[in-house]
Amino acid sequence: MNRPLSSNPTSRDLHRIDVDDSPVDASGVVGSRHGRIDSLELLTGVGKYTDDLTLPRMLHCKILRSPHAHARIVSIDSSAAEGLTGVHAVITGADMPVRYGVIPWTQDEYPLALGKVRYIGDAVAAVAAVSEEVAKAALALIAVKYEVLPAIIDPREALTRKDVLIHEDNKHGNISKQVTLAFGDVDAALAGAELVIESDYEFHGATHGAIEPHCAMGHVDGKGLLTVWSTTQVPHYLLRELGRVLDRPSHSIRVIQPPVGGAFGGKSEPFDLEFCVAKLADLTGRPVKCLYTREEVFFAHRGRHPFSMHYKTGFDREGRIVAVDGKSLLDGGAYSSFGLVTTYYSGQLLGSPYVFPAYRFDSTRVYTNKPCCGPKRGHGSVQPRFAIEVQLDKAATVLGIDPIELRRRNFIGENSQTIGGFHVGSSGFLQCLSEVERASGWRHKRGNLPKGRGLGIAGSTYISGTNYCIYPTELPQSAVQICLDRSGRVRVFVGTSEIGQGSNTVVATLAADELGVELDDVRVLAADSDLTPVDLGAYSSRGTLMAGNACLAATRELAAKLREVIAKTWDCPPGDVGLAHRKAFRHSDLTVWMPIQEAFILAESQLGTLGAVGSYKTPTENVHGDYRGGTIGASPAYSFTAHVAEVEVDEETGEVTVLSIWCAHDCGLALSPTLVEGQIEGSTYMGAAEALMEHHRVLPSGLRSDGQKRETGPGVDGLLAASSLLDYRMPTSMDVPDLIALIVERPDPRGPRGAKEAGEGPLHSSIPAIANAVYDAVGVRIDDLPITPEKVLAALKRKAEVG
Amino acid sequence: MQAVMLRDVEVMRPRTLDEALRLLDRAHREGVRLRPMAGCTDVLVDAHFGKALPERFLDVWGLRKELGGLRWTEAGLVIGATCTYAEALETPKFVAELPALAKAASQVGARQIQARGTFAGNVENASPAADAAPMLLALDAQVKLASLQGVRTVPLLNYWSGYRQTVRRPDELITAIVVPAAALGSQGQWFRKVGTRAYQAITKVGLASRLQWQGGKLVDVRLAAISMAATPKRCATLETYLKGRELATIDAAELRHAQAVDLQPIDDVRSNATYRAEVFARLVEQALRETHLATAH
Repeated sequence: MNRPLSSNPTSRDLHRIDVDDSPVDASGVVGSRHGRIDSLELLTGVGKYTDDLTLPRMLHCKILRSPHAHARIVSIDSSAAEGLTGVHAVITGADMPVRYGVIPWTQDEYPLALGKVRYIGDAVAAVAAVSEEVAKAALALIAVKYEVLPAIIDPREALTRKDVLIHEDNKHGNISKQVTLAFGDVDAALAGAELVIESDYEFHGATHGAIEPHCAMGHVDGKGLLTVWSTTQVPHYLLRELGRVLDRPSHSIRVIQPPVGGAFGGKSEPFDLEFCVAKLADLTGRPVKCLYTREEVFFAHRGRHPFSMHYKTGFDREGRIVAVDGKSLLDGGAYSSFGLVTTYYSGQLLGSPYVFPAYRFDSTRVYTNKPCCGPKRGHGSVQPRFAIEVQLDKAATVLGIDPIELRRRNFIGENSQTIGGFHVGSSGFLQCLSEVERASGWRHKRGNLPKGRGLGIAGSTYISGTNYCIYPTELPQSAVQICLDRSGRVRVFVGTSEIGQGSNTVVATLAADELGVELDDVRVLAADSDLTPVDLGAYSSRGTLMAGNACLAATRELAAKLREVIAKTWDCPPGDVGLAHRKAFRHSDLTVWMPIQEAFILAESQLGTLGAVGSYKTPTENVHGDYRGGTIGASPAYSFTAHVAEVEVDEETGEVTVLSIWCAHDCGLALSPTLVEGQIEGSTYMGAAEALMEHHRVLPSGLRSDGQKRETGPGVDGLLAASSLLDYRMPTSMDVPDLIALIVERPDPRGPRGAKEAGEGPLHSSIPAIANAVYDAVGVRIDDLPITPEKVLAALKRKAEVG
Repeated sequence: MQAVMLRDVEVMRPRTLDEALRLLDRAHREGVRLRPMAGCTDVLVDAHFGKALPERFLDVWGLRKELGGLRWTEAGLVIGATCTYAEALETPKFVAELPALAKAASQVGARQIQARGTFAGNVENASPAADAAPMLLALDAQVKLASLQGVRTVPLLNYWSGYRQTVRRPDELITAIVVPAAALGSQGQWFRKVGTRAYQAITKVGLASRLQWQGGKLVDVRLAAISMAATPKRCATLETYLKGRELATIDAAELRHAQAVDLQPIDDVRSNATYRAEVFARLVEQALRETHLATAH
C-alpha cells in the first residue's frame, strides 16, 4: 500500500482529515443514500430562518390591508398613526408609485395600492414601529376613505361585465391573457374520430400552505448598501424589482435568502413586505422587519389558478388519440403575477407523454377581485393534466381497454417531438406505467376489489426548468464558483434557493462525487447576491438540471487539474486517476492511493489557490417550436410520472379515503435517491390533498366565514372562506395514505449525470389517479374538484335515481 | 382583523374554590365580566381571531386539587371541572364504561388540545360543533354549578339557552359534570363525527347517541345532533318516532320526516344543509343497525 505522501514541508503541520486504510471504494456519492446536508442544523434549531434574524435597533413593520374586494381610495389620513408614540414612519402607495411584477410585460402591482384596491387583503399602508403591537395599534389609527365598487368574484362575470373594470388601463377589459394555438386540423380529426369524449371540468384553487410565513428584513448601512433578507425563492428577481421600484442601482442592493421553511411556488415573486421593509429602513435609518400572519399568507396566495375547462378528445377504435381540443377559463385573481406563463403552460405542457396528432387549445385568464393566483407546484399544467387523464379514463371505459394499456398505446416515445415542437429527450414513461402496475397489483386487483373500493391510473410529464428566462437575456441561467484547498474541504458558492427541496444537497452531491470528497467535506454557500453568482431561482424545477450542470462544469475543471498533478506523481495517464470518498487512486491498481487532502495539498502547492467557475446556458438547438409562444414551456429535459391510487368510498357519508398510492417517477438519474423519494412523497401528498380536501375559496356573497348569513352586494363580497389552517383543510399525518415511491431512471444527455427534475412532476397525476379510482370504486365521476363528500353523496344519489 | 393584545388582559389565579367564588361574586357585583378559563383551548382561539374578550379572566387551572379528576360516586361519575380529555382517556374504567364519550374525547382537536381541554370547558363553550358535550347530552349528564349563593345542578338538556349561550350566571362556576350511574356501562352508546379531516377538524355533521334495545325493540333512545342546530340538540320528535319500534319497522322516509321537525341544518363554509340532513339520517340508521347488532350477540 502506498502510504500518504507528506514530504511537503509547508503542509506537514496541517490538521489531517482521517482516512481509513480500507480498500478504495470507487463508487461515488451520486446515487448513494444520504440525507440533506442542512437537516441537522435545521432540526436542532440552530439554523436561522428569516424571522430568527434580528438586528440592533430593529423596527417592526405591519401592513394595513383593504377590507373591500374592490374600491377606490378616496383619501388616506395617517397623521394620528404618525403621532403615536413608538411609530417611526408610515408609508402609503404614493411613497412607491412604481409598478412591479415578475413578468416584465405585465407589471400591474404597486407595493402599496395606489388609487384602487382590488381584493380583500390588498396592501394600503405600512407602519414601522418599535414593536409589532405598536405597529398594529398604529394601523387602527390610519383613516382610509374608500369608494366601494362592485366586485367581480365569478370569472365568467369578468368576461361579460363591461361596466366593472379591475384594471382600467388594461387594453382587453378584464382579460389578463388570452392564448389560442392550433396544430393540425382538429375539427376534421374530431369529425372522423371513432369516439369523442366531451366533458367539462372544474379545477379549484388551492394555496401552498408553507409552514413558514413570508418574512423580510431590510437594512441600509452607512455606505448606502440596502440589504434585504427574505423568505423568497427568487432572490435574483427580487433584487431586480427592488432596484426598479426604489429607483436604486442594483449594485447598491444585496439580497440574502436564509433557509426557507417551504415555498412550493408561493414565494416566487416579490411581495409587498419586501418593498415596505426596504423603504421603511431607508426612511428611518434603522433595520425593519415584517412577518406575515397566517391570514396574510392566505391573502398573498399566488396559488393554483381555478380552471373551468371544456375538453373534446377524439379516439380511434384502438384508443389512440386523434385530436385534442381544450378550452380553459383561468381565474387569475386581482393581478397578473406569472399569469402570462400560466396561460401558455395550460396548453403547451400537455403535448406529452401522449401523441396528439391534432391539438388546439384556447386559454383565457381573467382578473377577478380575489387574492392573486400564480404558480403552485406543477404550475399551470396540473389542471389540464387532470382533464386529459380523466378523458383517457372515460375513453378506456367506453372502448373496453385497460386504462394502462390505453396510455401505452398513446406514448409519444423517446427522442420525439410534441405537436407543439418541444423536443422530448429521454423518457421512462413506459417504465413508470409498468412499475405502478406491478407494485399496485393492478392486474389481479382491478375489478376484483370489494364494494366501495377502486383503483385508478394516470400519467404525466413536467419540465426541468424552462429553456428561456422570464426576461430576455443572453446571460447564463445559473452559475457556480468552487474553491478547494489544503483543508481537504470544498466550498461551493451557488445562487440557487434552498427552499426545503434540497438544492444545496444536490450541488454538494455532485461536487463531492466529482472531487472525491465526502458530503460532509462540502460547504455550500447559497443565495446571497454579494457572495454567490447569479441563479434565477427555485421555480419550474430548474435547480438540479441548471445549477447541477453549472456545478459539473466547475468541478470537472478542478478535477482535471487534480488528476494531472497526481498523474505526474504516479507517472500514469490522468485518465487512470480516480477520485472518490476522500481518496485519489489508480483505476488500474486500486492499491495505489493517497488521501484526497494530500492531493489537494499537492495541487495547491504546484498550481496555487484552486478555484473554478462554471455556468449553464440552455441549449439552442432542437428544443422548442418555431412560432410565437413556441418557446414558452420548452425545457431542456422532461420528467415522467405515473400514479396508481387505491381508494375506498364510504357510500353512507361520501367520504373518500385513499388507502394506498403508488408513484413511479422518471427523474433521469437520482443524484440523491432519498431526496427524490421525499419529493415524490411530498408532491403526491400535496396532490392527494388538492384532489380531496384543500380549497382556497373566496365567498361570492351571502356567507361569512363563521357561517352566519349576511348582506350581499358591493363591499361585502370576496371574503376568504378559510383563512386559517383550521378551516383550510390541509391533511394531517392522520389523513394521508400509504405511499409507495418508486424511482425510475432514464438518464437524459442534457441533465447533469443524466438527472432531471423531481420536485413538481410527481404531483400531477396523483389527482386524476384518485378521481379515476373513485369512478372505479363507486361508478360516479366527480369532474368538479375537490372531490368532497358532499359531491360524492349527491352524485351517488343521482346515480341511484337514474338507476 | 385586529388581534387582542394579551398583555392588556388581567388574569386572576385563585388558590381555592372559595376564593374563586368570591372573585366571581365581586366581579359580578361590580359589573365586570370575569371569564373562567382552564385549559384555554377556546380562549386563545377567540383571542387569535380578535373576538371581543372580557378584560379579566379567572384561571381555575390551579384548582385541580379541588376541581380535578374523575370520581365514581353513588350518583354516578363526577368529572371535575378541570379534568382533561387526556386524563379521562388514560383511565381504563372511564373508557370501559363510557366508550362513546371516550371516542368523542379522542377526536377533540389533536393530542395537544386533549392534554389541555376539559369536558367542563367544552360544555360551557356551547359550540354546536362540540365533540364531547353532545355525547354528555346523550348520557343525561348534569352540570354542577357553585356560587356564594349555593350549589345547583342543571341537566345538560336545559343548559344551553341559545347559540353559544348557557344558563350559567356570571357569579357561578362549573365545578363538575356528572354522568348519572344509570348511564355508566349502559348499552348502545354510539358516537360518530363526520369532520373535514381525520383530526384537527370541526364537525360537519355528527351523532352522539344512546340506544337501548330489549327483545328486539328500541326501549330507550337518546339522539344528540352535532352541527345541526344552534346548539347540540336532542331530537324529541325523532326519538318519539323510534321509541318502541323494531328495526324492521323503521321506515327511512318516516325517519327523515321526523328528523326534519327536529333539525333544520344550514349551509355554511364547511358543508351544506342537504348533505347534513341526509348524512345525519344515515348516521342514525347506522347507529340503529350497529347497536341492534351488538345486543343481538
